[in-house]
Amino acid sequence: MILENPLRVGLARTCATEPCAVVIFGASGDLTWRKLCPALFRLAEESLIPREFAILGVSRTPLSDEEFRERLRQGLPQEADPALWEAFSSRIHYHAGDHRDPQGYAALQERLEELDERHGIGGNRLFYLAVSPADFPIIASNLAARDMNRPARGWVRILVEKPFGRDLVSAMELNGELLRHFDESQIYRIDHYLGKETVQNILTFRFANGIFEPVWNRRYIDHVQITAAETLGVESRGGYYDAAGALRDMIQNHLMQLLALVAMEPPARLDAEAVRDEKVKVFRAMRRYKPREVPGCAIRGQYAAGHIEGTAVPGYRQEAKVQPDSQTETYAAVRFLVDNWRWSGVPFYVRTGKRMPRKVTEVAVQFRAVPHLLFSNTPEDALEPNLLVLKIDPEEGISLRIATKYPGMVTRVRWVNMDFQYGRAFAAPSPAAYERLLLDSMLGDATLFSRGDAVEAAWAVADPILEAWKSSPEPTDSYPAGSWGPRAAEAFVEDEGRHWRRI
Amino acid sequence: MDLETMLAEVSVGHPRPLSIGRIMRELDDLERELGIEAGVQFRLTTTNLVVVCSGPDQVRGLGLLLGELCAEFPCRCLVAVLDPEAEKGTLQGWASLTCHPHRRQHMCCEQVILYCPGGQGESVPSLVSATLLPEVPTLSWWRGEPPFGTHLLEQVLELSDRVVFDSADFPVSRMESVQALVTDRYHQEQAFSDLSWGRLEEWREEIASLFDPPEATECLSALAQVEIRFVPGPDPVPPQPLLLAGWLASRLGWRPVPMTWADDAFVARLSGGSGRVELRLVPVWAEGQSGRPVGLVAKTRQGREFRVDEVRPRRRGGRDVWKSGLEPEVARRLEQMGRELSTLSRDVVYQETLESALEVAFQAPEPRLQVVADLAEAAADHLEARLREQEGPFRLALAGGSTPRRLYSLLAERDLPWERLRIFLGDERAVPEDHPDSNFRMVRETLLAGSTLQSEQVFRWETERGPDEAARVYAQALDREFAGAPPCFDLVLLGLGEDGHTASLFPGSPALQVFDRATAANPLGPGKGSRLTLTLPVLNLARSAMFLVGGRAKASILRRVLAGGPFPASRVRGREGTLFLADREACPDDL
Repeated sequence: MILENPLRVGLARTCATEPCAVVIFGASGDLTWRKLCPALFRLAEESLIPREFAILGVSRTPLSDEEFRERLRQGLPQEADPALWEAFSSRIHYHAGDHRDPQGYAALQERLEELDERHGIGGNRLFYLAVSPADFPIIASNLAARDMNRPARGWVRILVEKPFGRDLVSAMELNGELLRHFDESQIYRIDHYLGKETVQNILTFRFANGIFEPVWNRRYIDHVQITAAETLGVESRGGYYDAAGALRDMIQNHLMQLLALVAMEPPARLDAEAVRDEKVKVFRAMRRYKPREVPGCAIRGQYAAGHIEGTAVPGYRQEAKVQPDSQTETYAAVRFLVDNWRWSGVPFYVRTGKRMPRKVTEVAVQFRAVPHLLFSNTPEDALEPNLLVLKIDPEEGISLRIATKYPGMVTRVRWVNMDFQYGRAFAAPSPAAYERLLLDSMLGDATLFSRGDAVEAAWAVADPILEAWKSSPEPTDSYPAGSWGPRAAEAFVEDEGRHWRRI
Repeated sequence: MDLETMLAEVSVGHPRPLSIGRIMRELDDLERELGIEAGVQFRLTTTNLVVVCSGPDQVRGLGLLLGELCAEFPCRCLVAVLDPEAEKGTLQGWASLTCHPHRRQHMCCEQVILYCPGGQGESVPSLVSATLLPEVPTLSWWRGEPPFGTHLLEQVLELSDRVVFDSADFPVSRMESVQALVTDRYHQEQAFSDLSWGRLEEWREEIASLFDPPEATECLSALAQVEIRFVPGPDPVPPQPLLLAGWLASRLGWRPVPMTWADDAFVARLSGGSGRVELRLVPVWAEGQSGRPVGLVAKTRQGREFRVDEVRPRRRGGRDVWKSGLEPEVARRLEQMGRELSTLSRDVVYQETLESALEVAFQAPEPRLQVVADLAEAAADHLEARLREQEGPFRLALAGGSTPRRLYSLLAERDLPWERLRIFLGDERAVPEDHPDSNFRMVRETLLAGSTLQSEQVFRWETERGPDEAARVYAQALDREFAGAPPCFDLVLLGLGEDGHTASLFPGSPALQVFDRATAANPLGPGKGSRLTLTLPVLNLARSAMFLVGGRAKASILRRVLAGGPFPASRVRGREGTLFLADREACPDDL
């Protein structure tokens, strides 16, 4: 029988993080000092990491514990509390070794057992795979070979970063490899979009307000636009990006997750399985296009030279590590359809692009126009429908467009935006995505992580588009850097009598 | 505090005779101006915050706190400053909109300030009703002791969803009034919270986490002893350690019984689920602290030990924590008020804790008055009786001044077990030991000269070292005598000044705020020299306290002190009793 701790009643945290060791494979990479260590340190500042705790960095680079700590210190702000860093860093260790080499795992295991002893950790392990996805199965099987995947005591979880597969087949293979050695419940697939506060706020907005859910369907909603635009080009990621493209990099994972949060049915409970069940249902309801339908539903583009905020920038093909004749898309716009009772006939226009004029991420829900025009003084085209925008980046907030009467003796209608800005309402800053995700993985809450079946279901939707693009003789359209994408993207929305929101 | 100083503490603005209509118009104008400037089209307010200050001194630091607070929780603030001491005058009121300087965005704090001189608190509820934003939750925050049992409190409570006060602001005995409010069936809609309870959150978290592992959770039902070390406050067992004890008792199902003093701790033996649990509250000194727990040790019957020695205050959440640049104390208060504002529901755990805490609470008896014909004679009898009713060393703190002189001479003539006495001086003037004003000189000339008492049994303040050093050295002597623990005298003799002072604790003097050590140097003001004195926690840890009050001049103050007026002497309570011994002149007929 498990006893409840009666002293926990009424405390802000109803469960505590259990003792654990965070083992980071690929620890000498940037992610560790840029993101992971600062996130863990912030958790320490808020006393959210367990009191029995250790970080073990694993990588080929030979480093001492001290050198590794020094490297991680660089990622923290100067002002970080020295006393806390002292205590925190004494729990940071480094183990030099090649994660591809099965022989090395005996030493790793020994090291972990030594740390168990030293820091009083009961055998719980969080393996963070900050390595190339090709190495996920290698690490998984190497761990399994020494029974480090299912220890005698405690729990083992593995965290993996995207990309999770490059199409349905590879994702299924990867899932298969991991599932040979780990249970689905042990695998935490990070989609850092889900760690964002405002993304989580979509659920609160939909299910804590009574007035939106009744109109959240095909009777009242005309269409939904999801936009993720960035001003940056491919920067130093040319090699990876050229083989991936915008659809794989952004849409199949992040934006489809956003879409699922907007389109899902209310889950019965706010727990990992209930929420993820509803999301996977959305993916399964999404229409899978036939190859011949793709040109009418998905547009791709590639940026050419142009200007961003007044500065001349090169085109995609001139970027480092990019093939000079690359057809890879840096812009993608897709019309998704969710074929269920709630959403039948409501298009979800999803677009993403690099080298766009502004950095914006948002979900815009456009409602249907009023059925009958009452206000004769108003030109017909001025009577816009209501629009609800859930803004995610850079200003987080919600805005609702409503019609009001313009002051004066005659009745004239004007549109105003009611703008709620997260940052103005609550100056309390939001925790960074990695803090939340690392904490949740230590607590064993998988709600904000992608489940294997959802990843596969999302690939099943993306696959036909990728397939069609690959075999298409048509070259990828180009668009000048600093514009809102290729002309064709406008046309494909306008053909349906709609237009992209001007952002 | 004058009105100008007070203003500076709260906000910008000009006090003017009150007109709510004008205030609301001003606020609208300010907002419009600002809106145009900042392009704000939409204002968002999460809370009405009503702050009631029991006196002008309660506004200290409030402006900064409210400014920061509103940056996190957009509030409409209504600050009502009561000034019962001031002459009755016109109500003053003004509005201000403060925009936060060091944040990226314009965060604005809407404030309406009311200043109520004289006894005009009764008008506050109507002003609150007129200024609240509709439909937004209302939180009332009482700074200083809430006016229990008044219409003001009752009516503001009616308007509030959450009621916040700090039990550190009033004597533990008043917590019963809090309990009465919380359990009143007319207040089931309101959530009550005590900031002293809120400050325990980190402690609770830390203690709870000790017992999270399943094998440790099992130990909870096998606890034999829980010891809480704490720094005394104005009360011998202040609210925080008391609530911590109450929390453990209520969570773990221990049947609470009142604590009593045993040697070095307040102890209660409670019947737990499966046996007896000894609860020990041990007073200790810890520099710079007052009224809070500093350590906990829980032992099981099998000898397993769980301990918390330090609780690190948790940092405020969010990314810009490193850049906030706030004083840690302000940040801590802010964090706490933030928690209060972000929750509105009733805290059942607190209610159960409060109930248990009141049942284990240590309550010193109320003071008694005894009127006698011959003050010195009666005092000598009392002292001798106390001395003879116990064995072993008898630790006595003596009063100075002129009143006890005859008492000491009388005592010296008596046949007492002098060898058992250990004598300290409750206070001393900062003068050489042979100065006519020296208390030690008076004791030497009376007690030491006339009895077999040895000079090493009497501890004098080494005034030649200068006040601060003398206080420090005396504290060291007390440490040696009481093995480092806060001194618990068997008896303290005290005088009563016409201004209500006792020992050398004068009304409003800084030494009254010292709770982390046994002694303090108390400067009397420019040109008036200094006094050295035992501190309030020491007087309140004494087994008994005996005041000697003689002469017609003391009649008025004696009456006011016994009525519980705001004087240092009213705050002294011996653990087992406090006796005011007065002669007939000092005691008016109606007492």
